Amino acid sequence: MPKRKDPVVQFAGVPVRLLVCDDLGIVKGVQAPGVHRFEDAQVVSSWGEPDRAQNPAGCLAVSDTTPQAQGPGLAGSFLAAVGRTFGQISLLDGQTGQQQLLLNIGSSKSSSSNGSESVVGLRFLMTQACGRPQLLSCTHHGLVHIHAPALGSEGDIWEPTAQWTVPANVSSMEVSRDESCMAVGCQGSELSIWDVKSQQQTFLAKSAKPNRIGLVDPPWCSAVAFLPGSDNSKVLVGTGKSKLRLYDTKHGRRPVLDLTFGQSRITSLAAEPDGNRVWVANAAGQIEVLDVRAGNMAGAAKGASGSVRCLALHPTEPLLASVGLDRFLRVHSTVNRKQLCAVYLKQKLNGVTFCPALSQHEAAPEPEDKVPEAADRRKDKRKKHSK
Amino acid sequence: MSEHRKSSRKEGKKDSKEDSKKRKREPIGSIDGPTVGQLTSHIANKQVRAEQYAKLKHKAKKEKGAERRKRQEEVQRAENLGIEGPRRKVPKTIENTREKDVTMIAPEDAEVEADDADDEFASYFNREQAPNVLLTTSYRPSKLMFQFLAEMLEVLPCATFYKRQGIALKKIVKYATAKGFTDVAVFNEDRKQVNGLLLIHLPAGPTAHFRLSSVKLSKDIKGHGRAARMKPELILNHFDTRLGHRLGRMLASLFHQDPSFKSRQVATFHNQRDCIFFRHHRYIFEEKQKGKEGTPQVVAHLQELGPRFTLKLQSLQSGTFNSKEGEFEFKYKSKMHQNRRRFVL
Repeated sequence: MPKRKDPVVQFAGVPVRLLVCDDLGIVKGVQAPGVHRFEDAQVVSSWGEPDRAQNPAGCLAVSDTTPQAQGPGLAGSFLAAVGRTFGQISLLDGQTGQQQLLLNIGSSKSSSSNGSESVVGLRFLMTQACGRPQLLSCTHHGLVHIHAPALGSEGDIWEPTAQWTVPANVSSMEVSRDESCMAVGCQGSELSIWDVKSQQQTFLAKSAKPNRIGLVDPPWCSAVAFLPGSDNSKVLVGTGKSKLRLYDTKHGRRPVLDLTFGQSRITSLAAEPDGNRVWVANAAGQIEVLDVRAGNMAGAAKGASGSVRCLALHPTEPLLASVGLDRFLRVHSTVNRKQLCAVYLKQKLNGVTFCPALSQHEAAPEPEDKVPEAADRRKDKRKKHSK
Repeated sequence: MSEHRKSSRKEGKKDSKEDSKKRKREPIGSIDGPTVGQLTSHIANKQVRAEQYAKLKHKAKKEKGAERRKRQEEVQRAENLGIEGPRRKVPKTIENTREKDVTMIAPEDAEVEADDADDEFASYFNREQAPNVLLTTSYRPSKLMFQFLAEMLEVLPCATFYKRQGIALKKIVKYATAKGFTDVAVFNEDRKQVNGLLLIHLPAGPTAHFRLSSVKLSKDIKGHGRAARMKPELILNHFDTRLGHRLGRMLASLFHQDPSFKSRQVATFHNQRDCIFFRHHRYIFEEKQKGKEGTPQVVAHLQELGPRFTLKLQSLQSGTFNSKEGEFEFKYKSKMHQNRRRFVL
């Protein structure tokens, strides 16, 4: 029996799916039947065995460390890349969860040193090669790779096309929307921006000015985000010392905005597509939104009781997903900041991302079209009345 | 104005008559119905109200008594016939009406088991590692703290006391890790009252911070005993949610884990409404002969040893102590208990 008569069913025909990766190496899919029906969200898939304990290969201790990225890829479906410790990236099919291949980017020498080869950032590059996705990855050690499917193969062999090093102890990595720049935040050195094509450093930030008694925080950029619409010149940085800094590369090397957020390490940033607001999360479970133009916090998304490890914004809808150590996936509305759902996923969660709409070509545009139609009809009626 | 009042009064009387009619159908003072006070509070005249109140109250009491007697008779009759009697009424408490928690652990949850199999406490539960606790205090402890610690050392035979001597916590963590300790317990004191406990699991965390209250030393407990230097058995009650489960494992890892060991002392951590009550007892099972030719009966004796205290979880941080940069798995927020039927442990 249906719970209630849902008036918005026709608006929300496109299911929204999220992928979440956790501490044990499991990738879970959570699906809501529609944008307006997140209360019915539930776990629809669980890929991978919990293998932190029992490791079939016997030589690697595998666990997830980073958010996975994905893009529409081969044969109409999309790929999901999961970064793991010891420099491994597994590429999964985004719909079936089948592991397509395992990329090994760690150097064999330092595989004994624990966690230093863990993958910190992943991003699929779509624009540079024609139609073929490339995978940019960055390890904690500071090794950046770009992998692409080998020519002539059907996506089952990936080869590194570029490789360079950035400062070590990388704690965050972000690629700009047009995929030309990469920002790298490290512990021990300030923010640096790199050109993806030429693999050259284009910008090295300076810390904020010393305070009244001449003290400067030790550099630790724990989260970075490019502001869309700023021509890759504006980069927001969250530090391990609970500071938010806005750098404008056209405006010198010092930050143009420097403010304190909470009392904990800032763990994740997510910039809204218009570039005016950035969602900020920290290790004490606060999620707030920074109004970049006003330079202050403009509201909070409540609910998280533990550290938020990752934030993700829906590419088109006003939805914010967050996961963290309280083992819940939460989805908030970015408009009214209300919590739409909280799904208990049993493990400490490390990464979250929205999947591209499942059937982009067929089902997706239809329901969206219906809305304006209905509105038009209403308008027509009014017109008739007025006539 | 006066007319209006009069009319309202009349209405009130009318209501009370209607109410009395209704009352015949369902007993007053039953759990779901309105209380006597609610039934009479609308009567403006105090004398009338008091009379009505007394009348109704008397009636309610009589009805309740009759009902109880009827129930008792039924129970008695069922007992005599040897059949199952009427179901016993279960009182509504805050615990059994608690808000449903999705993180409640189901028995044999494969994912939870997989997580437990390789977490920070797994080596202790597999008995690869014995607990070894470093016990210390806040800066400048008072006499009361030492009395308390002396009793805690009796509870935790695996603990060693170290003077704090103004050493920073992070240095202590480093030292203890190097020395092979498995836990660091730091008791805090404020204004001559022990009021906090910081529990750090080594070498990789987690770190739990508790508010500690209602401390009662054994000398203040009536009829207390002296603890003997032996390992206590452990009872963990109601650590049912995912967070509670983790905390329970953390507390359990302070004590020796040996499935077949016998002791006469018991340490209890009892969670009720997110307060963890600690008690320390000694027990004995004694065989007693009743009369001269009766069969011997086993009688249990229980004696409290102390100390008693209550813990309240403030935060659980992954990793060793680092309150500024560390990541919290749980952090108490002031609005967490706005609903008094919602609990986290």
